[in-house]
Amino acid sequence: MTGTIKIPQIAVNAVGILLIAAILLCPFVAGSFWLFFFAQMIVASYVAVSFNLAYSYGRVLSFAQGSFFGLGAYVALYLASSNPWSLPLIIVASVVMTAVVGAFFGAIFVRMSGHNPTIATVILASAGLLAANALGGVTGSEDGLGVHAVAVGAGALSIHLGPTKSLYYLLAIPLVCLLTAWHFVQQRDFWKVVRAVASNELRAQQLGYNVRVRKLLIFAVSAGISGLGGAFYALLMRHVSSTTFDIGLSVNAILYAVVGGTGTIFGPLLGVFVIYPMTEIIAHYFLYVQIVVGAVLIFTALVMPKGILGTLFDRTRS
Amino acid sequence: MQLFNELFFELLNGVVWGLILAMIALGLCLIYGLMGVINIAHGSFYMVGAVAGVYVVNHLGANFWMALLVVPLLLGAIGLVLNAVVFEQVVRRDPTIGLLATAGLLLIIDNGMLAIFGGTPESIAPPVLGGVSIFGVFYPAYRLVAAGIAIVVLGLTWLFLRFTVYGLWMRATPQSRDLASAIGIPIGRVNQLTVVLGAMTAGLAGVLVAPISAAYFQMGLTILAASFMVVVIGGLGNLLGVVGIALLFGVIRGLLSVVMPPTWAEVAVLLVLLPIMYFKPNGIFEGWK
Repeated sequence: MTGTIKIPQIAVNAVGILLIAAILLCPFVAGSFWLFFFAQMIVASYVAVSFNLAYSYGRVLSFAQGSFFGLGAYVALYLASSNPWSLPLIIVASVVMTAVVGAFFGAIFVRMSGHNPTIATVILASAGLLAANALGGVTGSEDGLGVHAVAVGAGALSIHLGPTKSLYYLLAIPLVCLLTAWHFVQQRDFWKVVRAVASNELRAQQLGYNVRVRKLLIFAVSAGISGLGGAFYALLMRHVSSTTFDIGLSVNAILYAVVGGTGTIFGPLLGVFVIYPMTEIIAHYFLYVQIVVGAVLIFTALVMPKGILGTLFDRTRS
Repeated sequence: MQLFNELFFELLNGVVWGLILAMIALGLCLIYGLMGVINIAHGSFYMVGAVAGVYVVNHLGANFWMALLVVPLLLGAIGLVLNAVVFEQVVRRDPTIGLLATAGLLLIIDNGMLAIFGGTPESIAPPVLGGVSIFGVFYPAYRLVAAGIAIVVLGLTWLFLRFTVYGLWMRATPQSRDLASAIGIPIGRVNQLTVVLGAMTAGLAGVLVAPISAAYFQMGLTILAASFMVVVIGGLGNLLGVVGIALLFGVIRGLLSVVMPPTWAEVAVLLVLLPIMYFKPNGIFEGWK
């Protein structure tokens, strides 16, 4: 699980194109149920992608991505309620705010060695939930708060909140752009440095790269991506509660990424599209579906830690 | 005088809390030190202890001391099973696998307890009523008893590690796993004992807390931040450091409780200790050995 799994490029491309096509074409073929379902999967994908970035390239196995998600959701909730006309403000502010908080804690994480950063993210996630419940006046505690606005944006760019087609594309397009761009920068020099840092810190350091700053930036960006997902969650659901800070959200995101394959670009997306429908179907019959999620996570960790893509296509079997 | 009373009261509260925290962090630290497994589900052991304690006392009609005896045994049995199913499977592999597996365990245990016992927080009546006057401050007697029990358990654990052959093995194995195996230490048995001991002490801490604060399925998450912080600052694998930092944690939380609600104090103490994590990211006793 070193984030440098060798998978034939063609398989990755095929999976990526299929998933992106499904996301983009969904509103044309699907009814409102599936539109809402896909929108939720897209929101979950942001957290899974952000975990993958933090883990595979920032070398922090983070249990705090859900906390950034919750923070982004509340930022969007308050801005959408107070300034619904300014859609860019809502999006930019939730990303910047979570990225800054991510950078603040990332500065501590990158100083730690071994698995201490992971423990620190557990502390952060657990403290985030405590804080969200302690500040009930701000977060509305477990009952949560609603978004007062019906639509965000102004004039022709006004987008109705909830599971509408226009909001769907507002959610989907940044994710598609992010993953496509990521796919194309892979062979660029600056991304090679990122991978060099991720695969061997000491070597990268001796080659003269500032490892800590790079890891810090990666972590901040990953926090921002998760925060963006949170903001979209708030706009989609029009309601946010302190339960978004539950560590279970992070664990689910980790499961998506690990099942799909960490260190691959489209793996987390694949993980969401495999696991999310599965949990929804089970939830239909069994209320405590998180028990199953936990069992699947244990199974995946023990039996196929390289994920679906890695297990199917990895040629560097040991 | 009013301020002194309040300060002293919260200080005592802090020491009691610190001792209970030490019992939880102790197991976390032992399991990491010996097996290299960072047990994300450790808070859940504590939660199971508390919820099971409430159930045994309030719904099965047993008395508190009975629960104090039975529940840790139950946790020991759970530890035995989980060691075979999860911990033993991850022990020699990449620590990441252990992290993911115990995170899965956390979801299973927490939601399993929700499914069985429901989500309503419930407490039990203190088995020792009344209070004791210390320096003119009236303090609930039960909390002093709980602190006493915690001290006894911590002491017994120390004696066990110091003076029994299992304790010797448990201290020797982390230093060199291969060497320990070569001279015939039954590492599998030692691992098993560690997980069982960790689960039992955390479960016992849960039962001790049940008469002080309400037990519910997510209380493992509330202790997670504190216990991990204590273990990181005390130094992973450094038992005495962990107990000391746990007490410090409790005392700071107690003092902060004088000026703010307890739930805020819980978060604030984490913020107070945050600079230590920045300047001494690998524990304040790093480099002492």
